[in-house]
Amino acid sequence: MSRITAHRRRPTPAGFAKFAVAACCLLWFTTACHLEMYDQPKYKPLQQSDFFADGAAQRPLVEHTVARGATRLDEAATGRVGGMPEGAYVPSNPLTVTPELLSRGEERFAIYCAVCHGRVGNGKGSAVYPQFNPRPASFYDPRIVAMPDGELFDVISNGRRNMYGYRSRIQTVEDRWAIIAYIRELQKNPPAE
Amino acid sequence: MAQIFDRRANTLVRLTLFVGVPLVLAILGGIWYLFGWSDWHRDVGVPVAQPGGGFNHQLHVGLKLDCRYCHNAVEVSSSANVPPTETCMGCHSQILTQSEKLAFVRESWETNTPIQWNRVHDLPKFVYFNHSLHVAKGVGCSTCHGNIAAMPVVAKSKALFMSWCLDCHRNPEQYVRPRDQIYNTAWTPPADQLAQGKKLVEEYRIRSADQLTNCAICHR
Ligand code: HEC
Ligand code: HEC
Ligand code: HEC
Ligand code: HEC
Ligand code: HEC
Ligand code: HEC
Repeated sequence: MSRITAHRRRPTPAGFAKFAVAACCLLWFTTACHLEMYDQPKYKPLQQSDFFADGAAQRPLVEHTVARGATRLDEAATGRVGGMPEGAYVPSNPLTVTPELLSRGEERFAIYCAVCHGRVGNGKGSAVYPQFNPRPASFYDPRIVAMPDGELFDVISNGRRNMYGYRSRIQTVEDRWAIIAYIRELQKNPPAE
Repeated sequence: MAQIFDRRANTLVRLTLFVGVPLVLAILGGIWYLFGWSDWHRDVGVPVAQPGGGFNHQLHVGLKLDCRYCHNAVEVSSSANVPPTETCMGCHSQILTQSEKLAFVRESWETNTPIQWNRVHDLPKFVYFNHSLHVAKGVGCSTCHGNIAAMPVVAKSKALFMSWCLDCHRNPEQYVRPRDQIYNTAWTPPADQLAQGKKLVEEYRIRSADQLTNCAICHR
């Protein structure tokens, strides 16, 4: 019986070099195989989608949707007495006015209201106000000083006439009440015109 | 028959094979590598065209509009949203109501279809990023987006390489700023940024480089 010895070739330096060159060339083909992970079939916020008629992946909520557990029918959430949707406006801020609330209000006021109503609330905000007709209101107008806090809450949330509502941007009711507390603070010291 | 190649040709062949070819490959590879890491390849600084009259940050931020007037989710969510048409109409129902440049905004409002802005910054989908966290921990918009307030049309100012994220996650003290400067896009680091930064890192309780370079925080 003869024994078959496998003729194994020992790797020579030249052979190894050839192998290395070939392997390097093959590596070239491994690139650009990874695009599936870059662009996975999932949506990021606000991404475009061909599936829905309006072209947006993010769906608008059905009107009057309330997140589970987020139902609030107190005065702070509606600005109305007893939390009733059509009740009278609450006369004063349902939250306790603290220095923290006021400084939060000052910050939010500067972001969302000052462009039109001015940093001091006199209705003359940056370059925007002259183009409005009617002009943004001055918070020192006796009519607005006399407004119940609940009505201010309604103006911020739902807008009024030419002013659009800020419910979608100032999302927590606490922030809206903070702004109201700050406006009341402003009204105590009218600027000298 | 006379030899076509003389003996010296052997050396020449070896030279080309073992020096010339690797050299050319190395140069090509080098160019390819540098290209992949270049800002140019990632369109840094190239303004991205937008639909209609577009949106001019320089003009609007110049009106003293805060970033959060439009990007109102930036403090509370992972995504810094782009504003809905309603936000524009709050002013443009009154301002430039006849302007051609705003026809696309009015059309979107009347037909109730969103404006399709073109994305400028786009991370691959295997990366998780969160705005609210960075903003809360003292990283300002301009550290990552450049001086948006000076851009008529938004362009990327960083290529968004992973090494860039990691550089800051390893040494946040180079970049963090006081909380009241986050939205100031013209902020420049003070001369003693490192000393100030170290204090802020402690104040904000920013975690250690070990934790912030863990693959799982960004690739989850
Ligand atoms: C885009 C500009 C703009 C912004 C921003 C703005 N308002 Fe107004 N606001 C107006 C205009 C314009 C009016 C006048 C509306 C009218 O009389 O038709 C107005 C009116 C008002 C009034 C008086 C309503 C009345 O019954 O006369 C109040 C109160 C008010 N705004 C509060 C606020 C508060 C609080 C904020 C910040 C959350 C704010 N506004 C942000 C433009 C703005
Ligand atoms: C009046 C509304 C408004 C204000 C204020 C505003 N932006 Fe924008 N921003 C937009 C709109 C609309 C877009 C989308 C169109 C575009 O990319 O030009 C956008 C896009 C961007 C983008 C690019 C997003 C992408 O596609 O990657 C960045 C970054 C940005 N804004 C940062 C800022 C910063 C920082 C500020 C504050 C200095 C700011 N914005 C203020 C409306 C606004
Ligand atoms: C706070 C008010 C305000 C908001 C909100 C606002 N704009 Fe403007 N916009 C202005 C003013 C003021 C001008 C300059 C008007 C002028 O030239 O007299 C302007 C001008 C423009 C122009 C014309 C620019 C040019 O180059 O002439 C466009 C386009 C425009 N805005 C788009 C938008 C879009 C899109 C949005 C929503 C993301 C938006 N604006 C939100 C106040 C606003
Ligand atoms: C740590 C870096 C960093 C900071 C700080 C930062 N951004 Fe961004 N921003 C990014 C990255 C990265 C993206 C791309 C996100 C993606 O593709 O998912 C982005 C995307 C955006 C977008 C497009 C919409 C989105 O969320 O994808 C807007 C708008 C934006 N940023 C605005 C802002 C504003 C305004 C600020 C300041 C309050 C800010 N960014 C701060 C890194 C940053
Ligand atoms: C200029 C500095 C800076 C840059 C640039 C930066 N980050 Fe961060 N990042 C931080 C800081 C500071 C924190 C907060 C750490 C903490 O809370 O301890 C953080 C936290 C995070 C977290 C949350 C970690 C967790 O455990 O939840 C993620 C995710 C993240 N960064 C992703 C990114 C990505 C992706 C990029 C690049 C596109 C990036 N960051 C760029 C500074 C930065
Ligand atoms: C701070 C956030 C962050 C952390 C931590 C992080 N990455 Fe990344 N990674 C990124 C970003 C952003 C990209 C996309 C870069 C790009 O677009 O070029 C990326 C891309 C990648 C890629 C794809 C590269 C390519 O060219 O396709 C790989 C692989 C990767 N990361 C692996 C890792 C590993 C392994 C770790 C842990 C050691 C890690 N990453 C930690 C943010 C991070």
